[in-house]
Amino acid sequence: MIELNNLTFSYYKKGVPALLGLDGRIEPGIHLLAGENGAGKTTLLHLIAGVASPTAGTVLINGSDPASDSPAQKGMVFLLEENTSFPMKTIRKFAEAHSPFYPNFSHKRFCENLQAFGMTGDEAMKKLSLGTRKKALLAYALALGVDTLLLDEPTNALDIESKETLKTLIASNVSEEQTLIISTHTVAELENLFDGAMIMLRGNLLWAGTEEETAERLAFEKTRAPEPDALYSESQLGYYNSIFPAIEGEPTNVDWRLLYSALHSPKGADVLKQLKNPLS
Amino acid sequence: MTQPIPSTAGFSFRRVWAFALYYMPRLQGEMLIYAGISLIGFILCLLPAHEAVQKFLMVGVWTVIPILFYCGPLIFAKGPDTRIVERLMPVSAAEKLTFYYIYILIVIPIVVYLLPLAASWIYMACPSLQTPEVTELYKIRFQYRGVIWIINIISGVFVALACLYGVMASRHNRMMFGIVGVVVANVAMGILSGIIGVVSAIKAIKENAFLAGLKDGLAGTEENADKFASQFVTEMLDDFNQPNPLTLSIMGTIIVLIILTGWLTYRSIKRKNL
Repeated sequence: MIELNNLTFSYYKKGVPALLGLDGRIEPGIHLLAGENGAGKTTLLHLIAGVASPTAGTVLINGSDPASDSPAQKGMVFLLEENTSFPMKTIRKFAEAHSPFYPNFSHKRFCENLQAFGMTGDEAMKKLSLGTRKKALLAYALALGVDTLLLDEPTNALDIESKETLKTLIASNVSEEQTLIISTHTVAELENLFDGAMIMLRGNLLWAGTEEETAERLAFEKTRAPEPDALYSESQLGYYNSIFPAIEGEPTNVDWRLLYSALHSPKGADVLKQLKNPLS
Repeated sequence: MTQPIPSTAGFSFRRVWAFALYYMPRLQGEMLIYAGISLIGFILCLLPAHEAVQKFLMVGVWTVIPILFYCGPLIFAKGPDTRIVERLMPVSAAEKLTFYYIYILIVIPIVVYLLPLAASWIYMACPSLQTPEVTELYKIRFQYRGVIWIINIISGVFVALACLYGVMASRHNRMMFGIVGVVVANVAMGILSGIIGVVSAIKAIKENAFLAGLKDGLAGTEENADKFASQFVTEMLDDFNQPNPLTLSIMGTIIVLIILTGWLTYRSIKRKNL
């Protein structure tokens, strides 16, 4: 479990903070990390990965500081960024040198993932397109078996078929005990995969909760006519996608994209109020 | 696949070795280039060429070799930015620093100095290769084995470690900061050398050669000017080659700088925000 306690971060001592006192708990599962450009998503991933230290507050993974120098702690987390590079010619060579540090790495799974993307692992990385390089790295990262895997924009540069393959691989590679955080702007491409979401706005974490927690508070509906009682509503291709306060006992499918749009809209405060204080 | 490395607490040489293996593809290339430069340089030096050419090559090679040593850490700044992957690796900062130090202070010196020193030995052992001027250069180069030799070594170590610090501490332009580290450390060593020179010269003024030369000059004869000048330098260097408060404090200063640079580098590896 990841715990954020008043997590604050500034890149410069006297600079404007990139993260403003974030609080939240992220349970094991697959989580969406969404926010506008510059919201602080990558900074948050860096803090969870331990490659940056908070200016104030704490981030804890299973009760331990990810920025600690302990190899055991470092072995629990892996961050795959958009521009991750390594000094080897092929992903297989990289895996040979890098994977021994990760005791849960599955070579079999790595080969299967590569195969799913139509790769052998012996392709010269320099000669590959951005998308193919990314597929090789994703195949490797998903096979690492770390407790916490952080993927920054994993679908960028992937073709439609590869995005579908990635969805399948995420579903099959990530166990119930693992936490996978996916930072992305294209929520729809990985929909139905997320067990929870973290939604950010200008350095603030507006909402961090599971699908169940969100569904307990909000109901998502698609209607033909606008609903005056909706907390938030938007029209799309002749339909209205709306958010209402949840009604106990009535199931709902959480629409993360709609929630993101609602929280970033002028009506965001009302939706947020319902999320944070459902009984008010 | 290689066996997994346990993430045990405490220092592990197995992790240091695994970290070295991760870097190996990069390092192999650098080591081959360095060894190649040393080899080619010394083959050229040993070729029976014109004395001036041979002298020029020898001086050139002995100028390039320390630069190769100083700039060895730049390999860690070369190519794509792989810092995130390295920073995430389950290897402690102390283990990473140990690897960097072994590579910079043991592997690189062996690669760059072994061939030239072997070539020097071959040269001195084969009279047929020798020319008076180059032999004289060798004698001057290897003349001092005392304090001057130790100061040369530790100041070189400091410059190489300053380069490593520049590479590890900078967030952007790691190559440039590594080079800045080399330049700044060399300037610092130059200032120390200047202090040594001034103090030694002041001390040597009281020695015989200077007084004899002065007397000779005042008499207007200057018959032995070259001899006295050479003797003056020899007396100055002989004095500096002995442990005394000046030389010991210079050595102490450089050692303190080495420790400080090491601590700053360790801190950068451990805590630097990316």
